[in-house]
Amino acid sequence: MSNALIKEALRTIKRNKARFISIIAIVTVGISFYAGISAAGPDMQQTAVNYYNENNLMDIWMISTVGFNENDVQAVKEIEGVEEAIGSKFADGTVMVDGKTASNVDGGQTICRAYGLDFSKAESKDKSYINRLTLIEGRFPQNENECVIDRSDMATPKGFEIGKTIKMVGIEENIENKLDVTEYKIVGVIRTPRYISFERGQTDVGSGSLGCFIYVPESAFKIDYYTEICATVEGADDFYPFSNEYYEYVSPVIDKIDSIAMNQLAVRVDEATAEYRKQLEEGEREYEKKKQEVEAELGDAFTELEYYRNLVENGDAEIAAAEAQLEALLASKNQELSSGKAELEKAQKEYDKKYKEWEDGKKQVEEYEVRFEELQKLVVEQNERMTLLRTEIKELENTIPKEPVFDENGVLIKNDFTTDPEYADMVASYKSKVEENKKLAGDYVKNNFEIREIRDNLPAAKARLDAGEKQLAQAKAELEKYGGTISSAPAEIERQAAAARAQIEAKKKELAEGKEKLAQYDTEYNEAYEEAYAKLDEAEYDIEEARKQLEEATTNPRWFVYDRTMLPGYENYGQTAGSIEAFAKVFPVFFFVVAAMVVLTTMTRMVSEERTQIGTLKALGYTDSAIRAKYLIYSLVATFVGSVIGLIAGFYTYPSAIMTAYEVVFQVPELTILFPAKLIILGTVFAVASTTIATYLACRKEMLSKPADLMRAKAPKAGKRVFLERFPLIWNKMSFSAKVTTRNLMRNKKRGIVTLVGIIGCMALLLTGFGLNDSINQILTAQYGKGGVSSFDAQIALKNSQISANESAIYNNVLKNENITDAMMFYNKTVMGSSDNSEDELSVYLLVPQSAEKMKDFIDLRSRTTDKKFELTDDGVLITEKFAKRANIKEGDAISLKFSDELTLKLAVTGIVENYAFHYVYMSPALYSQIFQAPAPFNYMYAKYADGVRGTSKSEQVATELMKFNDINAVVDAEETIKTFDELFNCLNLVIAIFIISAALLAFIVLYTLTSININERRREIATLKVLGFYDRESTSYVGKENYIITGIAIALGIAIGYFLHKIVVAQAEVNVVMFGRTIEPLSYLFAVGMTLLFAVVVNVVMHFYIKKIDMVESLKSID
Amino acid sequence: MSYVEFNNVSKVYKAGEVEIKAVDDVSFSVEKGEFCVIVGASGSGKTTALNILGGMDNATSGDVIIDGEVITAMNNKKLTEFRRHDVGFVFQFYNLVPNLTALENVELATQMSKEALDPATVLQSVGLGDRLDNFPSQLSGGEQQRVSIARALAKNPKILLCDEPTGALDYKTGVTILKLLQEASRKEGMTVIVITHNLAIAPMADRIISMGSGKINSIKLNRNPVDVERIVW
Repeated sequence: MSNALIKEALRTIKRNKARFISIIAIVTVGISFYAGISAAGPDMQQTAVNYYNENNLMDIWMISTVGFNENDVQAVKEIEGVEEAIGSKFADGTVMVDGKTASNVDGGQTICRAYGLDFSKAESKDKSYINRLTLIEGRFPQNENECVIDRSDMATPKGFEIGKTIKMVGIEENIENKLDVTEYKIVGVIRTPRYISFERGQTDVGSGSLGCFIYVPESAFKIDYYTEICATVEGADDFYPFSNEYYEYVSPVIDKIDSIAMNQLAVRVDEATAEYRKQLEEGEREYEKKKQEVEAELGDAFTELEYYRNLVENGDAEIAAAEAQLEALLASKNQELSSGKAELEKAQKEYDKKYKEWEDGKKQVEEYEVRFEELQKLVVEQNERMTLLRTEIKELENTIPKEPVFDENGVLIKNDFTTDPEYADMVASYKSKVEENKKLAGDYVKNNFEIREIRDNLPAAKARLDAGEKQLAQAKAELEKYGGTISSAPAEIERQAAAARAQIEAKKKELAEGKEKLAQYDTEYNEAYEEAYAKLDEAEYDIEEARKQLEEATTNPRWFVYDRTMLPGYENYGQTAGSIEAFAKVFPVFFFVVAAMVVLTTMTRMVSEERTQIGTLKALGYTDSAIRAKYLIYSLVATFVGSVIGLIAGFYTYPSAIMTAYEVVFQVPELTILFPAKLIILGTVFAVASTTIATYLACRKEMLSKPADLMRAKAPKAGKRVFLERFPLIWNKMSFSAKVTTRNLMRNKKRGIVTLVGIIGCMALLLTGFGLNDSINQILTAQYGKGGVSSFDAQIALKNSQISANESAIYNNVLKNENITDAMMFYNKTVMGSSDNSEDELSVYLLVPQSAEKMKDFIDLRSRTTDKKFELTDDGVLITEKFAKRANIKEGDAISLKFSDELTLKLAVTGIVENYAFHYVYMSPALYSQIFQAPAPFNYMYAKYADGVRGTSKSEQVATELMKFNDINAVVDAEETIKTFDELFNCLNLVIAIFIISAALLAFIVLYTLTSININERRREIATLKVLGFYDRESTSYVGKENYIITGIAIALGIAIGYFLHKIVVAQAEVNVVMFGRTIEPLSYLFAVGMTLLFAVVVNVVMHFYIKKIDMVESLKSID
Repeated sequence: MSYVEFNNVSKVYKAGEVEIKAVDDVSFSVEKGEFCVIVGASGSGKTTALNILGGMDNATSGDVIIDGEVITAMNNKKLTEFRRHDVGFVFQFYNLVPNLTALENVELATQMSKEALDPATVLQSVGLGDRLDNFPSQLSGGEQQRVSIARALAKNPKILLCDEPTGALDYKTGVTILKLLQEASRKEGMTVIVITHNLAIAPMADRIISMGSGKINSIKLNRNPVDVERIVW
């Protein structure tokens, strides 16, 4: 190749910068995707290898039913192949932080394992320091009151922060028997290769699954035996940790250890038996003593409590009675008062009458007296008169001639005197005087009679009067007294009532005080009771523990020797690292295809633009290969530059991004970035090969042509009828521009397909990205949200397992809470689930509710696909969907549940139920008792809250109220669980961002490159349109409509492909314990379509300006 | 006032320091219905003049007035409208859209023009009545140019501008094309302006403008234009 030609090649690059850059861009995107995603797996693997080797991860892990002694450790160390062996101690229990029992992501109470470590070796590189900790933050403990924690978003309980103090609490055992110190201040955060993922494995206490771990100084332990032995195998570091070769290398060493187990155990068993027996005896003594103490103490307290309880219980009734009495009293008194008043009035009236009578009598007597005196005077007067009268009469008799007067001689002197003037007078006077006298005499007699009568009666009357007076006075006094009584009566009543009221008040006060006292005494008593029984429980635990240990030690003492598969998360990590590669196969191939197609179209255009030049060079005598070389150099340089940029960008971005997404799950040191030669070579070769082939193909036609043909203008591609024109019915109805667009689409099929593939890819990636986001959100809403699978509002962890719900005090206490509408106890136990159809062994929760009927109120047992509702029956168990999938089983198959090394159950699966977080096996209580010959020991409770409690401050209040019960360890609101998960999945947003950015890049590069080629090729046509008087926007639409139609078709196809891609990606991205939602929300379809359209519009706008710049004079130029 | 007026029009290109006057103070006029030929060697400025006349290029100075409208004062949009409705173009290389049939190529122009003629009829009148559905690649050069003329005529423009319409054709075909143009002028009263380097064509025109080095050499009115068939070159 001549110098001139090289120069020309370089100038070509300069001249066709845009084209050059677009090749670089598409190659960059393709290669970075391929290399980046492909490198993620190896990077993860290498990170693990470095981590394990640097931190000296054990190859062999041993536990024993009786623990190990120093001698055992020494014996293991001496085995051939064992590099180092150390004994260490651990103790499991719940853990208190911030005054509460810590809980897991799923709401269960966290079981924490405290490992003992000799921190003096913490910084050493000593080979005997196995499972070396890496300090991430803070410092290592300096005394036994300090500890270090791990930091996993998923496993580490909330509130575990440096500076806080945590407390280990035994689960149905007295942890003080194992630990001298149980409270530790957190001073640092560490990472250990023992736990590479959030999985913490199993424990033989509580629900059976370990939640977190801490490291404390070994001196904090009380036990003098080791609970585990960790050993390394010589030369094992040279093998890839997850490979079969590695396991095969370690396996014989394990066999050798197994072979010495029996001999070693004999010694340790004797030792342990003696120890445990002693403990048992001590424990029993202690228990008896404590029991008596407790009973005595509680007895006194109880009497007092009863007194007040009585008081309070009767107080109200007493007060009510007193009040009623008061009422009655007041009523009768008032009644009496009013009747007294009436009587008084009557008596007064009587008195008044009598008084009047007396007064009348008195007046009469007085009258009689007056009369008497008058009469006496009258009688005297009458007497005197009568005497006078009689004298006078006599005189008159004498004087009045009555017989003829005869003188002394009887001679009638006078016979008739009547005729005497004086006679008449005298007779009249006489007659009147006689009359008077006669009358007076009558009167006189009458008066004398009267006088006698008066004289006879008056003294008696007077005496009577006196007596009457006396009587009256007495009556009056009496009356006055009575009146006084009556007038003072209301005051008296009031006084009595006041006294009664005061009494009532006093009683009330007494009652209130009594109530207060009762409450106080009640809590005090309850506290004392709880405390006392807690103490008693502790004592009982000790006995139980000792008894259990003794039994274990004597019945079947064993060593368990495991390889690394027993390490939680170990295999999962290896599998994950491997599975990303599968992921890496689909996408990059797609990107490469698009890249090759873009290069092919670009180069074809370039070559055809330079036809004349090629012809000229040919005519000058240059060989085909020399001419072709120019284009090959052009595409090679672009590809090479793109490869370098792509490789660097890919290696640095994708693995880290993927690892960030996995940070939820895995805790490893910073990712080791590898530059695998295989990928560099393969990627570059693949890229170069595809672009070179594309370029070669682009040149092929020109190379075959004669120079003369080349120098002649190339006839434009002939117009052709399209298939649609055979249907005049449709074709004739189409608008002119629709026809033109249809023809143009068909004319450039190759370009159309490249554009189509590119945009389909864009659309599918966007849909996958947005859909992934939906899937993650659906976990939470579908699991814990409204209408979700878990319809309970809170989960309550119990301290002691309860046998029967009805008889359980704590259950009834919980139900009593006014904010709790319903509750259900259940038994939760972690077991290992597997099936004959799959090699996977998964940690699953066995859940036994208190009643099979009640279950549906707390967990919706439904099928996701068919909406069928399941019931818990006694024929088998219900299992959750993800577990079924992992174990590869259907309804009617059997699953194996491993409870311990000795106990594995095979159960029929009666249904597969919808569930998103964690794996569950639901078993009816009847089936449980049938299998275990004992009722399930309920250790948890689900609760439903009244409206408006969940997720509010009220819920915290409820939790606080419930936590007062000693039997309740933790109360976790479902909203809290949602929040925790939400934070957990935030990091997956990065993966979604990768999808969206890749999609955007893809769409832009493809659309832009192909559109610009399209316009370039049709410059003359566009210029002609302009001359014909097309407005710029008409010209744009004349060309751009094709893009929109292709975009439209691509969106439709992209939705279909994206739908499936989403399914694949979701299945790949799922963390072991969760099932992502499977549906893409309508809004995501909208977003994906919207964004794809937006890209098309943006490209079209750019194109519009490009078209605007095309000069009409072009149309006049001769074809070149 | 004439139908087409070209008054003191100049077009100056700047190439670095050098000013090139493609059209240098040119003035001429063409009457309605005239067949005008502008002749000149390549580089004489005739194409530039045509571009300015057709609203495809701006003049540096001077006025162009067509049917009373001042083209040189129009903005881009107005110019587009002017081209759309009032100008028909015939190019040397036909510039047919290869992906459209003869009929569709004509329709491309008529669908947006106000007083368009029926495309099929126009094609009939240029003698392509039986080639309506053929694509350009299926037509000979002369046929393609006839489609091109039909496309221009179908718009029913005020003026028909032709840039070397026979430049790529053989003599015989060229004659038929020129005859079409002449007929358009004579029969339809179309104002036709043809630029060519071929002096031989000049005698058929009503008006012959001769250009050289951006200036007008002569303007000649031909009272007895010759029929195309009698012209030989």
